[in-house]
Amino acid sequence: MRLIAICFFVFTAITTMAQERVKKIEFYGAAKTNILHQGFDVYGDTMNVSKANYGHSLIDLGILVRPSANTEIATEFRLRNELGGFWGGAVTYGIRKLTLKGVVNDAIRYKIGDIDLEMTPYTLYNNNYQDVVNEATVFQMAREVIDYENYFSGNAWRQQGVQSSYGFYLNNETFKSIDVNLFSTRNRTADPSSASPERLFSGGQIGLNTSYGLITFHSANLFDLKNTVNDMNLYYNSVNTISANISLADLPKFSLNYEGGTSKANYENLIEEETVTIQDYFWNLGLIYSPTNKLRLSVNGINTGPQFRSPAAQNVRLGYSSSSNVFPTIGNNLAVRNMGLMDYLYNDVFYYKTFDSQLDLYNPAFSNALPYGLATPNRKGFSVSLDELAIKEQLNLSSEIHMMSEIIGTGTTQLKSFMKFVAKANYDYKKWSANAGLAYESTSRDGQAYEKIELSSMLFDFGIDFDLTDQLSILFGTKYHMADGNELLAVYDSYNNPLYFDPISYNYQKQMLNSIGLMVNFSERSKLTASLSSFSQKAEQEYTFNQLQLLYRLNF
Amino acid sequence: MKNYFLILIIAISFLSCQRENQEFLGGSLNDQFGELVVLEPFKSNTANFNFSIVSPRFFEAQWSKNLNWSLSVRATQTGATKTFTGYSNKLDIDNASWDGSADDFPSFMKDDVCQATLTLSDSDTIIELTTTVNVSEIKNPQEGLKVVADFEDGLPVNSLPFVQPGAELTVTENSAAVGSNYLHLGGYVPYDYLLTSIKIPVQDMDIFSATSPLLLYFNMATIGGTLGEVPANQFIKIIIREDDGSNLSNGEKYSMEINPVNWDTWQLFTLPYSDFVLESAPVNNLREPGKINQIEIMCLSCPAESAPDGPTCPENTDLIVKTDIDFIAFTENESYKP
Repeated sequence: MRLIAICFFVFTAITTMAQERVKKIEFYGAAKTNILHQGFDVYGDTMNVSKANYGHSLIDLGILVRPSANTEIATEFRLRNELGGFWGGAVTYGIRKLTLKGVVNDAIRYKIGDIDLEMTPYTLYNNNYQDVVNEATVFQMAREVIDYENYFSGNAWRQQGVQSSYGFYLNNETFKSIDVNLFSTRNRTADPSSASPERLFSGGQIGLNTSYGLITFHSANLFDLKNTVNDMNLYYNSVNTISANISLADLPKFSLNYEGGTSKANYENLIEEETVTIQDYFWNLGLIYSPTNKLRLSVNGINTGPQFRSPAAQNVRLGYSSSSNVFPTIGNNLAVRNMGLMDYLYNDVFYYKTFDSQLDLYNPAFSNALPYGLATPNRKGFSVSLDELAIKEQLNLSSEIHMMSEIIGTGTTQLKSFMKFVAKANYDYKKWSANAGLAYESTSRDGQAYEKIELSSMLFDFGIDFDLTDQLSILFGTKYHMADGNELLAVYDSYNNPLYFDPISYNYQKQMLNSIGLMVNFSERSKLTASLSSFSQKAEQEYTFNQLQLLYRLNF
Repeated sequence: MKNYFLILIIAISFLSCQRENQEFLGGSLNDQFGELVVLEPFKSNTANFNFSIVSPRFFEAQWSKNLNWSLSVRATQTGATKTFTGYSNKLDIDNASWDGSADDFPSFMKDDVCQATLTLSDSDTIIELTTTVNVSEIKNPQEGLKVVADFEDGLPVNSLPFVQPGAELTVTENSAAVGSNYLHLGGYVPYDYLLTSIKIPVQDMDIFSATSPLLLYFNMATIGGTLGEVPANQFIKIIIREDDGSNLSNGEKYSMEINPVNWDTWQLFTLPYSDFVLESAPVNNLREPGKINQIEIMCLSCPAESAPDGPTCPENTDLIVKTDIDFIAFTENESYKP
C-alpha cells in the first residue's frame, strides 16, 4: 500500500513538473524608438522647408497561449506613439498578428490566421529588394525595420488564411516519403462599390522524396469568388510547376535542378460574355557542381514565355511610383521630388504587403534584366553562378552572371539583350568585418533611332564594422548607384500586355548614400544605433540630404 | 540510367510546348515614335466619279505609320460633304471607297467639283494633302425609296395648305437640300401655336404593305434659322394618316414632333414608322405602312402675346419662325442616304 502511495505521489510530482515546463501563457515582444533629424539642401530653393524632425516609439506586445500541448495561439498588439514634431503627436494601436497553430493526431500541422508563405521563384515568392547587393551593417539596421514593419521574412509573403501540412512514409527503397503542404488565403476583400469580387489565393506543394532527390509539384491559384458582388468581371490565374533536385549517382559532385511549368490566366467579362485566356510556359534547367562544402558552381538555362503570368511571383517590393511625405517637393516651382536611396531605406515610401493581378511598375535603373525576379516574362538565356566560395573561414565570395534576351520583341521585331553581373564578398578578421557587393546591368537593342536602347546601371554596396569592445562597434557603410542611357518602359493593359511605351532617359544619374554609426549592444536583445548619413543625388534633380538617426530596439 | 531517363523526360517536357507566333508584343514603336512620311501621294483612282454605274471609286495614299486620319470631300458649289475616318497607314479601296452619298443634306449634285482633303496627324506632325475629283453622275436612288414630295415642281398635286395671317408657306428656290427648291414654312403669329401646315396626299403605298413598321423609315430634310433670330422653341409636327377608317377622315393618325428645330444647316430627320405615336382614336391600333394615305407637316411655335390654350412666350416677340422642309420620302430597311 505504501509502495502504491509513493508511486502515486512520485507520478503526480513528475506530471506537475512537466506541466510547469510547458507554460500555458507566455509574453514576448519588441520595443523600438526611432528618431530622425533630416536636413535638405537644394541650391537656390527658397520655397521648401529644409529641416525635418520626427520619430516614434512603439511596443509590440505578443501573447502566446497554449490551451493544450498541441495548440498554440499567438497574437501581437501594437501601441505606437509619434514623438510630435513633423507628424504631430498621436497614439495609434492595433493588432499586428493573430495566428492559431497546432497539430492533429501528431500528424497534421495546421495554421490559421497570419501565415508566411513561400514556394519557388516562379510560383510564390517575394522578390528581394532591388537597392541591395550586399548591404553594410549600418544600413541593415534600417532594413530590418522595413522587414519588420512590412512582414517581410526572407522571400515569404505574409497572408491571412489557413495552411496545413503533413507527410507520410512510403516504405519503398526508391520512393521514400511524401510531404504535402496546402494553403488557402484571402487575397482581397469584396468591394460592392467597384464590383470587385472577393479574391482568394490557394495552392500547395506535394513533394516526393526519392533516392535520387526531391521531386515536387507546385500549384498557385489566384481566383475571384463568384456572387460576392454584382459580378461584371471575374479573374482566374493558375500556375502549376514541377521541380526536381536530382543528384547524379555516377557523378556525385554534380546535381541537376529543374523547374518547369505552365500558367493560364482567364479574364471573364460577364457583361460582354467574352473571355480572354492568356497562357504560356517556362523552364529552368541547372547543373550544379559542388566538389567540397566550400565551393558551389552552377549553370542555368532559362526560358520564360512572354505570356507567363504568376502574380504571386512576378512582383516588386518597392512601390516605385510612391513618394514620401518628407520633403515631398523640390525647387521654387514645387516639383515633386524624385525618391532615392535615402527614401527607400528611411522614409515613408510604399512597400507592397501583398500581390495582385497587375504587373507592378518597376524602375529600369535598378533592375531591367529581371525586374520581377526569375519569373520575369519574355526572357531566355543562361546564367553562371559561383554560389559560394569560402576561403580560410574568413573570406566568402559569390558571383553570378546572366546573359539573356527577350523571346519576342516589344513594340518591334528587334530583341533586347540583357547582361547582369553580381559579385559579393564578405571578410571577417578578428575585430574587423567588411562586406562589399557590386551589381551591374546593361540593356541594349538595335534598330531605328526611335527603338534603339542603351542602358547601363550599377549598384555598389560597401561596409566596414569594427568592434571596439564586445558591446561597442563602429559601423561605416556606403551605397552608390549610377544609371546612364535610355529605355522604353512598357505601360501594361489590364491583361498585362504592353500597350504603349514611355521613353525614359538617364543622363549619367548618380546617387550616393554614406553612413557612419555607433552601435551599442546592451545585451543580446537590445541595441542602440546612432548614425550620421549623407545622401546626394545628381540627376534631373540635384539635392543633398543629411540625417541623424537614433534607433533603439529591444526584444523580449 | 534512371537519371538519364529523367533528364530526357525533362527535355521533352519543355521542348514540346509551342507558343503563339506573334511579330512583337504591344503597340508598334514605329507608330508611336517613328517619323511621319508620305510614301504614296494622295489621289483618287479616277478623276471623274460616276456613281450611277457599278465601278471602283476610291481614294489612295500611303504613309509610314499607322495613325488616325480623316478624309473630307466637299462640293465647292453645293457645300455637300462626305467624311471618312480611320486608323491605318494607307487609303485604299477597303477604307476609302465612296458610294456618292453625303454625310447629311445637302446631297451631291451632278457636275459638282469636289475638293478632297486628307489630314494625317500624330503627336508631333500634321500633314494635309488635297486632290480634286468631279461628280460626273450622282448615285442612283436607293432601293426601297419612295419620294412623297421634293418641291421641284412646286407644291404636290392636291396638297392642302393652311396659312395663318402673318405666317408664310412658299416653295423657295436656291440652297435646297436636294435639287433646286424647298418649302419655306414660318412667319410671325403671336397669337397661336400653329403658324402654317400642309397636308400632302400619299399614293401607291401598297408597295410597303408587307413591310414591317420597324423597317419603314420616314425621312425629311429640315432647317431652322440663325440662333437669336428665330424662336428657340419653334418646332415641327408630323402626322401620318392611314386609310383604315370607315372614311378618309377617320383613319388612324400617328404623329411625331421635331422639337425644337434649332439648327441652321440642312439636316436629315429620319425615324422608323414604329416610333410614331397614335394620336387619334384607334381603329385597329396597328401601324400599316401600306395604308398610309396622307402626311401633314405643321409649323408651330410658342406665341409671344396670347394663346388659345397653353402659355405664351414673350421672349419670342418679333422673332420670325423658320422651319423649312425638303425631300419628304419613305425608305425601306434603312434611313435615306443623302
